[in-house]
Amino acid sequence: MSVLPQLNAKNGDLVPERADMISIIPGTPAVQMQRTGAATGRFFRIAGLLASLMILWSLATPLMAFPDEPAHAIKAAAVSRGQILPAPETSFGHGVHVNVPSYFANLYGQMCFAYRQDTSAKCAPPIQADDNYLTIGVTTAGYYNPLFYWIVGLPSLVLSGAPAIFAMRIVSALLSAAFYAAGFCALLRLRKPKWPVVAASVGMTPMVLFLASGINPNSLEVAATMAALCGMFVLLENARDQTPVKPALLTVGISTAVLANTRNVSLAWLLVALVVAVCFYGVGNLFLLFRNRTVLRTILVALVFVAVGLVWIVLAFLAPPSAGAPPEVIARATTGVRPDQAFLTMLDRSFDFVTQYIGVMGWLDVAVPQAVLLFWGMLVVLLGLMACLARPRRSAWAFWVAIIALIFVPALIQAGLISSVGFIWQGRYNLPLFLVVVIAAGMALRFRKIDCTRATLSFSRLLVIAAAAAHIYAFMYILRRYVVGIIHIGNWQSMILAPGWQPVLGWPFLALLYTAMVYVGAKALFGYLFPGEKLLNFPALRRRP
Amino acid sequence: MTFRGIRSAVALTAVCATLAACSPPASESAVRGSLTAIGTGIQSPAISAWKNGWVKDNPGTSLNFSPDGSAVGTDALFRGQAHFATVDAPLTAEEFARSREACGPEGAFSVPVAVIALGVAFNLPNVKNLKLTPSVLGSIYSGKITSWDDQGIADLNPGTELPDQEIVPVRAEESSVLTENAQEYLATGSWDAEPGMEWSPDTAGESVSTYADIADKLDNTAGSIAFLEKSAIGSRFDTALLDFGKGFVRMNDDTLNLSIGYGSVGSGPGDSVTFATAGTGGDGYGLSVVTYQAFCSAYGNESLARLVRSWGKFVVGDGGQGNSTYFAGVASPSKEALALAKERIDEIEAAS
Repeated sequence: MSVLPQLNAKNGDLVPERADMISIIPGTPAVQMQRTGAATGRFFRIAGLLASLMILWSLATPLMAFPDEPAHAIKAAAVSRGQILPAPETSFGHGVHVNVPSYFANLYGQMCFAYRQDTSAKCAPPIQADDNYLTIGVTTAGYYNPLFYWIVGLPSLVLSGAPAIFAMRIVSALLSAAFYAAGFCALLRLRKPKWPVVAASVGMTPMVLFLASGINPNSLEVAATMAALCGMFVLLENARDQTPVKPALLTVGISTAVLANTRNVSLAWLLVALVVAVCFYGVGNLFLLFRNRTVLRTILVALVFVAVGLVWIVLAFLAPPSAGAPPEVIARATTGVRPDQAFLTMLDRSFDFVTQYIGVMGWLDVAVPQAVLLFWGMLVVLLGLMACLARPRRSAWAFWVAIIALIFVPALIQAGLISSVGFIWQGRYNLPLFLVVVIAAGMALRFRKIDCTRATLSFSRLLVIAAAAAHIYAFMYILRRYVVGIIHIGNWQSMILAPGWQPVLGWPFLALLYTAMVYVGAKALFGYLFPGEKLLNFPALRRRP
Repeated sequence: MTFRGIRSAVALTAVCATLAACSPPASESAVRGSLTAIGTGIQSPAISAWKNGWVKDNPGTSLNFSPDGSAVGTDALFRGQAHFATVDAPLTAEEFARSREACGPEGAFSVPVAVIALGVAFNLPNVKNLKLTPSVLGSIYSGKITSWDDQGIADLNPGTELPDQEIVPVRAEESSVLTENAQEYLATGSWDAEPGMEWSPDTAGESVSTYADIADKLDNTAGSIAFLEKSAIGSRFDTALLDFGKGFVRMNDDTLNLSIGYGSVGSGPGDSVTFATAGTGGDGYGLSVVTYQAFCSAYGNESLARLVRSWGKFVVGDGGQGNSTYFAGVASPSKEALALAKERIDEIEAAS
């Protein structure tokens, strides 16, 4: 079954081969149900593909190998057990104290391989499921909005030990996959969807998949921003229609509600997404949307969630100060650096962050191979350069607005924080805006036709296969990092002959499954772009006479 | 294989992997789990050294430590927000009484874990074997002596060519038992003010935020002088020979151990173990701080009690004391004190 729909499907239009199976009187319940069914099926297929890739990353990565995963896992365990707000006098220099099962409190003990590329994950002790007496856990995420943590922490109420934590990762992956799928489905509803879909596929870097598979609200923030942006495109494109596109409206509404209740800075990304979307379609269409009652009702509901999110920010701001100063490794207060200097430093570092958009895994201690960085960097640059030449000019300008936002918004935020927390910015914080830029490039190019010439087919086939290979290479390389460590000589053979650590079910099995899923995704994308064409032509077996 | 088939395989893999991630049952007597400690920051280097050694001996353990101050540490321990506290002094009777709510009817107790020597470091490259008394140091810190070639200093150092250079006393603004210890030493001379945890703002010289900032300030300021922990001094600075009433003594391991050897062991509330070095007026180098850890006598369950006992016994045991001496540059309390401490820690039990 194809993951992506057939030619130019829009708003759940019937695919040609199904048209003769039902009544084609427009507006009949049967037609409506068919459209809804097709759209829902599409959503679940895309979500299933993305979730599969993310879950495989979840299983292939040792527990607590994601940035700050212990702090977020402990917070999730606490919130799901009713500890929404930090209790009075539980905030200390190193974090907020919560009451969690012992195996959660002890998760910092898993980090023996963190920041040590040459050390396999074998050093981490087993997580015992029966270590579940309640004890003090320390989290630096104590004042983060509890929404993400409550959802992700739920599996820990029925499972224990390592299974509970893997289940939490899988829930996080499913959440992200749902939002990314909603984003892709929104793009597929556009009148000219192919280039935006290509761009969004370029945006699905190894880093995006990796981050979505751990316990960290950063992943949901990236996914929800992408979904919101894509939903806004659809709404604005159809602003003149009396009935808004409900799935797109739902996508934007839910994404807004989630972003308002993820991280403090998440609403800034939503604002950027809105500005970029309006740049493509004009303020006039925005005002048209606001005249629609259904849209207004959705905005109102979303605003309620935004208000809840803002209340949380105020509560956290007004919380009593902690009993001590944060340790050097967290504080990093930089004396003598003015905000304007911090701003300029961030501008200087704009391109330094690019590697983290593509793939710097673990505790940001191991980058994917140079070949993957080079190839994916090339894809992003190519898209960007082509977008600069896009017509109409308005589209090219809209793309530039996205670029400017990516460079300046994080710089402004970091400059504002320099005196209190020092230089804290990491490239992965920019991922929401990175996806906005990449998809904006696709939107700028959307009026450009994708030819079906032999040359185009060959080149596109090469690019898609190379992208699939890049994903698989990145996955294998990171597996190697944890199975045997990355040392100064090549040690791929050690993965087979002397693995130091094995993920659950073994790395060869996970690698095989990952390769299969990447192939499915690549095949679906190619088939969508060039209907009737195959990504790989396997020669038919000849029968012996 | 179709996409649906592969997707199903992934879903099945996820379920199987989740369930297969169960670890084999561990031995019930194994030491594992996480401890949380709050307290005085002067133990930070030693805590780091003990933590590395303890975790190495007991994989499956971890320690979270927040150096928020001695008072914050005891408060956290008595409210059940810490498993143990690092403290600047033995628990008092009043603290013992407060501890009973969280620590059970036997309350909390404290044991000595390290001796941190305080030296007087200075930045005068051409001056060796500088001798100083509490009176002269007090005059320096009160601004009465402002130049290195002052007669008061020259009288203590005959034959030493002292430069005509401004003396810059450097002090840390943070509240610390090291400051109290320094002022107690000065008070044996000409220092009038009551010894306290902070320097008065009108103390002569320049200030930095924390003791961790003093070394760089000393390095960058010619003619400067400061009280500083032995581990921070290392071989980076020369230290003054100080007068403890029995002649001038240079700070080194031998003189410090002499003072420790002539120290006295005592007891406190909750069967705490106390220790004091020979100090001022005794043999050896007498400017040092004895630092403690406070534990509850009982914990919520046997696993936790076992975990705390394991930590405590490691800290006061040969392995832990070796780690803190080598990696953190602190000295050990007397063997008698450590042995009594170990006995008391062994009595930690699960609350009934």
